[in-house]
Amino acid sequence: MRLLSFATGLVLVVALAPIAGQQPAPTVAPPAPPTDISLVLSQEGGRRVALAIPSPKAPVSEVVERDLVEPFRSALTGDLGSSPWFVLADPALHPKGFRPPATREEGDAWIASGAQFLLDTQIQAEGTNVVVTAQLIDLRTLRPILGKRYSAAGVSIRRVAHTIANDVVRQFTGRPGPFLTRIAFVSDRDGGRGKEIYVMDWDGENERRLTFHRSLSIAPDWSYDGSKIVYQSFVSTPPGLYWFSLSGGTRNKVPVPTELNSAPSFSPDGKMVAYAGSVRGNPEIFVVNLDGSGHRRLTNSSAIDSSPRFSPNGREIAFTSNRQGTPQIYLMDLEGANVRKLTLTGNWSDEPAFSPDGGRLAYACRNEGDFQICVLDLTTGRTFQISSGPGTNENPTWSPDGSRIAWELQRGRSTQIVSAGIDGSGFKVLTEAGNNGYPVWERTMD
Amino acid sequence: MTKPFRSLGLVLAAGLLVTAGCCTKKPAPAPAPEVKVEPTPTPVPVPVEEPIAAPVAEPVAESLPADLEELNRKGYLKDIFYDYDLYDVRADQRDAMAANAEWLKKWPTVKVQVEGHCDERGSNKYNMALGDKRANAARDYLVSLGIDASRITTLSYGEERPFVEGQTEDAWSQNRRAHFVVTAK
Repeated sequence: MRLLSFATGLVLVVALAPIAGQQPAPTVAPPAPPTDISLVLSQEGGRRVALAIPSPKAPVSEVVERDLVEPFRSALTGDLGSSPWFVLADPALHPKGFRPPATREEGDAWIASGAQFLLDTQIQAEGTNVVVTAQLIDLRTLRPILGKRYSAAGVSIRRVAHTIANDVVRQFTGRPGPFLTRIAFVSDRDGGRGKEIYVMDWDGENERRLTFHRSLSIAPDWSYDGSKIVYQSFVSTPPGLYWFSLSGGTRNKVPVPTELNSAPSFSPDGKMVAYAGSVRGNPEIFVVNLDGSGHRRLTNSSAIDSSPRFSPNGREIAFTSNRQGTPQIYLMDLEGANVRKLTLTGNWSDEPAFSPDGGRLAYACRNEGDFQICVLDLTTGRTFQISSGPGTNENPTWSPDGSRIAWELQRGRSTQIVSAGIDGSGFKVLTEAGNNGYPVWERTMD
Repeated sequence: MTKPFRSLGLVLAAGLLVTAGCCTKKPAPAPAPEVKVEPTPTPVPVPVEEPIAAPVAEPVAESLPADLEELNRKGYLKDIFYDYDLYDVRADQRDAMAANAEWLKKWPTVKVQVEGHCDERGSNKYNMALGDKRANAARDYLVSLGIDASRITTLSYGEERPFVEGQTEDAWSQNRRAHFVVTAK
């Protein structure tokens, strides 16, 4: 019944020193300002940058290959290969050698392989630590626009790769990618009829169990500062709202006088949760402070009200109601006033999730057949669908940079967490063991 | 098997009702001034003999299993089923609910938890609330049949605990249910 105590994050020392001297000629490479590169991107009409990522140079050894090179390579290409900014040049076409290209001819050989930029990396093992150098070279000028050295414990090699991938994305867009963020989720992999809360890296690696309730614990939400997770658990009767701190400790109950007590959502300041509570069989939306004070009912309808989500500015709450027939998503303010219907199409809409900037709403939508993931642009009112194909798609959650959505996909008897860019590209299956659902993406970037 | 059992239950329930009627009358006479006129002994002896006789004779043959888990395995209370995305007690489920109410009247100390369940076709979070509606609709129906509300608690499992695996209408219709669990004897 006690739970979790785990170290937050792996230790990573990032030495930001530009690589000086050595074989790569450019000293403190005068990188082209990121804005120029962004300009290139927009000038090319949003076309992706062609990036070559050859395997890192490393000492030849089976252990190095298995423990460092392979995890580093898969994390780096996994990150940048699924980013909406890049397309990876086919490694089979990479020229041999020429790293980094020293002459125009060598540079042209890389360009001929389909690359515009080369991400050249080198791993050095020093005892249990690693030092990784990375250079991002513009193949037209042969100049590095990024040059850094990273040092960390060898076991953190994937984290080094994610940090490099973030730096590469930042170079082009001015903002890091989501590669150091995590996703909390629910899994039944431990058997029995229970479900527990887990966390994993954004790419599905490094899964760790967080709760040990031997009960049904579902529908987690992550506080905006990343320090707490709130969820519904059946450890008590009626089920309750619980939260724990990711830095360790036991579970805490939010004392509420209602039953049901499902789908908690943190307010952006982390002081309050909105949730669906029931009084004598009438599910309504409530807000309550974590200590149980300030308990207030916001909706007043004999219909079903469920699935509340705070907007990122904390001034509104989206929720689901069948008050006008089929379940649809509505918006209200924190007094429960100014209610308006957001989803106007389909026969079932639920599980709203605001994009980090609050401008869009992802949700589970259904017209005919299965649930899909839809995104509603709250400014234009236009809706587009990002999932496709057979299966039931539910519980969307946004990456903190707004570039991706993760959700749960049920196909046959298997439910797994998947993610894709908001244009539907870069589809990834993140989980494998047991059934996994209710993903919620951490809202901080690192 | 079930029919003779049920009629036996009805006889016993009737006996209990007589008992209940007599016992509640007993403390009441104070306000009525006629008590002084009529000799009290007459109503007393008749009910006293009857209730003692009934429970003594029957419980030997019929008693509930001591263990709650075993008791629940017996399935004295019948689950009821719902239409898709609805939570009212269906007309064809009313007989089962009447039988459940009779059984609960027969065993007046029993407490029951009503679990609301949904099929997997709706969305998870909405279904959790729908299950709450279903469980409460079943509770309200039992109350309307005379069961004290304090004996009944409710709980929604949404679509988290399906009874039947599979993605067929048959499986779904089995999973849209109120399930009754005895929590105290």
